Amino acid sequence: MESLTIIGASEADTRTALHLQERGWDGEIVLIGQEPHTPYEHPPLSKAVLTEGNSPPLLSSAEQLQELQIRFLQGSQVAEIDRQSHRLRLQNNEFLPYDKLLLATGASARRLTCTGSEHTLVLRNLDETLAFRSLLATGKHLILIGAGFIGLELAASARKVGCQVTVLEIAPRILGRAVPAEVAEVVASEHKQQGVEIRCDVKLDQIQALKSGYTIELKNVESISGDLVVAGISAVPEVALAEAAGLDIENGVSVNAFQQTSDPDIYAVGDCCSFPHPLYEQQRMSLEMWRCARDQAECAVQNLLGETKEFSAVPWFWSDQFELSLQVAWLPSFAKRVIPRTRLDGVTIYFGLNDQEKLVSAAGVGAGNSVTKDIRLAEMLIATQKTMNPAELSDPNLNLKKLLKS
Amino acid sequence: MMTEWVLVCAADDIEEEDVIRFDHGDRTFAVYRSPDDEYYATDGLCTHEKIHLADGLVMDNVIECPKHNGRFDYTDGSALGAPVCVNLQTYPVKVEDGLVFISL
Repeated sequence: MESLTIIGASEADTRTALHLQERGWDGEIVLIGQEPHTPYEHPPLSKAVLTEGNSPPLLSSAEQLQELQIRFLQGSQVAEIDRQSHRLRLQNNEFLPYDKLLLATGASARRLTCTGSEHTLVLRNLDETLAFRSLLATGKHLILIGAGFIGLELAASARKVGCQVTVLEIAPRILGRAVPAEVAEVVASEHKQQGVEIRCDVKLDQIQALKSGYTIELKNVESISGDLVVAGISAVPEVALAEAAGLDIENGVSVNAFQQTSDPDIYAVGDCCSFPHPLYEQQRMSLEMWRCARDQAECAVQNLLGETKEFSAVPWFWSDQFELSLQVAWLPSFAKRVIPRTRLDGVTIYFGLNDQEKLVSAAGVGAGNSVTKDIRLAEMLIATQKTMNPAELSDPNLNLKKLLKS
Repeated sequence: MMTEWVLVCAADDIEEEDVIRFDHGDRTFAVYRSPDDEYYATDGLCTHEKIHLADGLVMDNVIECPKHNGRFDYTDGSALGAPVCVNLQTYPVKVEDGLVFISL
């Protein structure tokens, strides 16, 4: 009987523990969570948790973990991975032996580096989100730095609860390379209509604390003052433990196609790892995507159970802002040209083709879940690696499902 | 008790291998047409986070929730794995004179 120890108790990690139990792993499973909470879903933090004050759904209840005989160490931190003797040292100096280890340490928020950056808040977990929520109130002026997904979701949520919101972005447009310019434009105009002020092309000089609130000095333009400053400028993979243990690091804990690190007894999944992607010439990437973490967890589970499973899922993510939902399959930055498909309901899906006319990305934004079916089908089309006919892709009368089955 | 058959739509209103949303009173349902031209009905909301399933993709006999990709076999309502673990309620369906009815 082998034991598996999992560091992290978020999406990928908890799912792994549950999957393994479902699939009949007969050894001990230990789940080590740093936060003082039962494992919960993270995506609602920037959305319903902020606007409604709802608790996020749990990934598993304490009772369920107990029932499945998963030993859950809540609010526990690992200080060191001792690979030689196959054991972990916890912060409280307790030792924990392992046979197999799974790292799902996630990513932490990137911090600003300008003078006064200590005045900015970041949101990554439930406690930070609840603390932030308690500071929001009607009429308060929130300044968000970074117009990426997290920044814009926070902007929408803060606006919904009545805050005045300004978003500052260093790049010429919002959402950077993550979505085509046309999709970013739809999102930007929705924010504008809802009263969010987005200022692109600005450079931060410094942040100063006032008696009440803060002033952000900008280069070449007038400064801006507000009550709260939040930074949402991407995330950094949490690799400290792995690095100290001498594992290969390459913009994340480096894993092979099987989610295995440079130590065959240690696997890594989710935001903390970087992996080669077979659908893109084995290019190494690290993604912060909810479903990717889940898919990698499933892949690691199969390999832990002695199968040989390569990770190959098409990256996909979504973001909800106001009444809009945006979805992207794969990474539009890999596309050489974009084929728009404007549907009869006016929503446009943007397909990205590479040099060989293979579909490499699809992105769309619309009310509610109106783009879901098309993006899901696009994902399947991407996975087939078939050469596409641009005229067919752009024809709204042609069912994408037919293309998939042809 | 007599079964109450409620008119949903014309049989052709649902494309093959697709789904539509059907609201009745304060309830919402999803009504499906399978690739082999059979009709099925389930509760309209995903058992995970109350998302309308009719916005999701139907492939063969599986409906996938548009939000978190939870999957159900719509022919018997069974949940096919995380993140969904609670089965969908299903309802009898009949097609008469080109019209689809469900029994509530």
